[in-house]
Amino acid sequence: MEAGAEEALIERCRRQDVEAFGKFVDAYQARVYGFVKRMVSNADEAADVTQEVFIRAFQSFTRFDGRSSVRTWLFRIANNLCIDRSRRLGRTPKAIGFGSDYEDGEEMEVSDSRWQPESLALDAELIQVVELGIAEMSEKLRMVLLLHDREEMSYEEIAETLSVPVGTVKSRLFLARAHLQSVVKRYMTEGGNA
Amino acid sequence: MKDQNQVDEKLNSEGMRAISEMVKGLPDDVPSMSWRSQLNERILAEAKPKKAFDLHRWLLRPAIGLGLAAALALVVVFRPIAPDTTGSSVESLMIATHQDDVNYASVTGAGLSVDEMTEFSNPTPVADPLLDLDVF
Amino acid sequence: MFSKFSACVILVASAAVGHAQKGALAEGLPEILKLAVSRADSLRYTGTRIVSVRARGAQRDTVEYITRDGNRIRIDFPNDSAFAGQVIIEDPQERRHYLPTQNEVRVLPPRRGESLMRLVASLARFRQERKVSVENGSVIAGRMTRLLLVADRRGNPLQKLFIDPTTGAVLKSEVFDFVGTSVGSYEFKNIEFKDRIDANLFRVSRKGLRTVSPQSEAKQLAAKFNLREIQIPPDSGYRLESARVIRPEGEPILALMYSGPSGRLTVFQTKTDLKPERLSKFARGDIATRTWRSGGINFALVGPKSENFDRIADRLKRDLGAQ
Repeated sequence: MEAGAEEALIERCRRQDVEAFGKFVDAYQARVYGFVKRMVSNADEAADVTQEVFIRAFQSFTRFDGRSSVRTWLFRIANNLCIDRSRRLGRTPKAIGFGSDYEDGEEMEVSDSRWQPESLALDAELIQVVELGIAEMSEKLRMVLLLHDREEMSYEEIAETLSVPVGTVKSRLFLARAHLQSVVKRYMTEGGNA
Repeated sequence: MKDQNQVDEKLNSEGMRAISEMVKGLPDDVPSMSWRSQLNERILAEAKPKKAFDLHRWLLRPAIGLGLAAALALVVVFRPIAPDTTGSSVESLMIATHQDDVNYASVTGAGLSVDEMTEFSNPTPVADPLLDLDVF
Repeated sequence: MFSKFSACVILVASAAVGHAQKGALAEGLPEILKLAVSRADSLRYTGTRIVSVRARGAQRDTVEYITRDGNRIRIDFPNDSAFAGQVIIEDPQERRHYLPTQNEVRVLPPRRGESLMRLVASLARFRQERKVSVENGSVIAGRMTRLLLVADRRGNPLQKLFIDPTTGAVLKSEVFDFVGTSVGSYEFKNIEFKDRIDANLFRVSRKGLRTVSPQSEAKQLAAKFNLREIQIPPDSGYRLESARVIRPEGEPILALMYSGPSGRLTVFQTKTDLKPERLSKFARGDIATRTWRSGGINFALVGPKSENFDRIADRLKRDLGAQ
C-alpha cells in the first residue's frame, strides 16, 4: 500500500470507519495470522487470537497516535496477545532458548548442493522441519525471527515493538537463526531424521 | 557475543542469510472465509449502527469478488442485517467499558469524567457564570 | 510526616501485598513518588490544567482552573468553555458537581487521590510485573520536573508522572493502554503555590438546588429498563460513582461503576445472554470477572482481582437470589 493511501486509510480507521477497517484487515490479516499461528502453534487458537488482534485494533484505533508505524503497532498488539495467552496457560519458555545447541563460532557448511534457498523452500519435508524448529524455540527468539525474517521489520521497529534494545534484537535473531541452522544441518546430515 | 559488530557480521554471513531466505519462503496460510465473516460480524457489533451500514455496502461491491460474495451470503442469508450484540460483542463491550472507566479516571481525577464531558456540555456557554451560581 | 491521605494510600497498598510485607512498601517506592504521596494533603495552589482524553472516537480537551487547599479542591471552567458556570468541589468525604443550568448538584464519592492510590497499590501488588524508573522530566508550567515512568515487564509504558521535586506536585500525568498508546493526560499550563487559600471558595450554595445522587439515578434507570436495583454491601468500602445505560443494538446494558479500596468495580445487568468464558477471555491482567443469572437478568461483575472481589460477588449473588 502506498504511503499516502495508507495514511488516509489510517485516518479513516481512527474515526472508526468500518469500511476502511475492512480494507485494513484485508491488508494485514494473512501476515498477522501467519505470525500468530507460529507463535501459538495451534491453528484454531491462532484464528481466535488473530480475531482478537483485529478487534483490539479496531477498539483502540482512536488512540493510535502515529508515533510508530501502524504495522509496528499492530504487531505489538499481536505480540502482547500471544504472550498473554501463553501466560494464561502457564506455559514457560521451552528448553531451546538463549542456550541453543548452536556453538559459538560454528558456521553452516554452504557447499552442500542441497543448500539452495529456492529448492529448500519447495521441499515439503524440510518446510516441516523448519516449522518444527521455529516452534521449539523460546518465544523471545521466535518472535524476533518472525518479525525480522518474515515480516521484514527493521531491527529498530522490532526493538520498538518489543521494547528491548536493538542489540538484544540482533542477538536474539542470531540465536534463532543459529538454532534453525543446527536443525537443518542435523536434518541434512542424518538423512532427513532431524 | 558481546561485540555487536561481530553479531552484525555473523547475521550477514551466507549461512545466516540462507536461513533468513528459507524462513521468508515458508508458505503462508490465509484465514478461512468463515473466519473473516465472523470477524466482520464482530466488527459490526463493535461499531456504531451507522457505520455498520457502510460495511454492508462495502461488502456488496461487485469488485470484491466471489470470495467476499460468499462471506456476504453467510452474513445476509443466515444473519440479521442489523448488528447482533448477542454472543461475543456484549462481553467485549463490558470489559472495554470497565477498562476505559478505570483508565480515564486515572487521568481526570477530581475533574470532569468522560461521561460528564459528554452529558453536561452546555450548548451555549452561560454569559456570566458567577451571576448564575452564588459563590460565598 | 505522612498525612491522613498518605497513610490511607500506604495502608491500602500494604493491604494489597499482605501483612507480611507491611511497612516494606514505602521503602520500595522511588523517593520522588514518596514525596508526591506525602505532600498530597498539604499542597496549596491555583493553576490551569489541560485534560486530554481520546474517548469514543474523539479527542476531548478540557481546560480546568484548579484551586487546591490540601485535601480540598475546587475546579472551575473558562467562560468560553462548554462547561462554563459549572463548579466541582471535592473534599475527603465527597465530590459535589454544581450544574447551574439544571439547578442541581450531583454528589459523588471523592476521586482526587485515586490516581496516586491506584499507582501505589498496583506497584505493591504487581512488584514483579512492573518496571519503575526515574529520570529528568521536561519543564512543565515553568518548573523542572522528574519523570516517574511505570512500565510493564515488557517495557510498555503504563503511566508517566512528571513531578515537581521541590513541592511534590504532579504537574503532568499520562496514562497508556495495554499496547502502550496514550489514553489521556493532564498537564498544568501554569501553577502558583500559595501560603493560604480562602476557605469560602469551597462552599457553594444556591436556593432550590436539587441534589442528585448516583443511587437515585441507578434506581431510575433500573426501573426504566425493567432491571434490578442492586447495592454493593457498604461495608465493602465501595461507593457507587455513576450509573449509565449502554445501548448496543440489542438489549440495553446497565453499568454501575463503583470506586473503592482495591480500585474500580463495574456491575453490569442485561437481558442478553452472557458467555462467562468470553468475558474472562477478554479480561486482561489483573481483571477478574464473575457472571450469574437471576430473575431472567444476566449480571456480570468486573474489577481487580482480590479476595474482596469474590466476597462482593458472592454477596451480590446471594442478595439477588441467583441461580
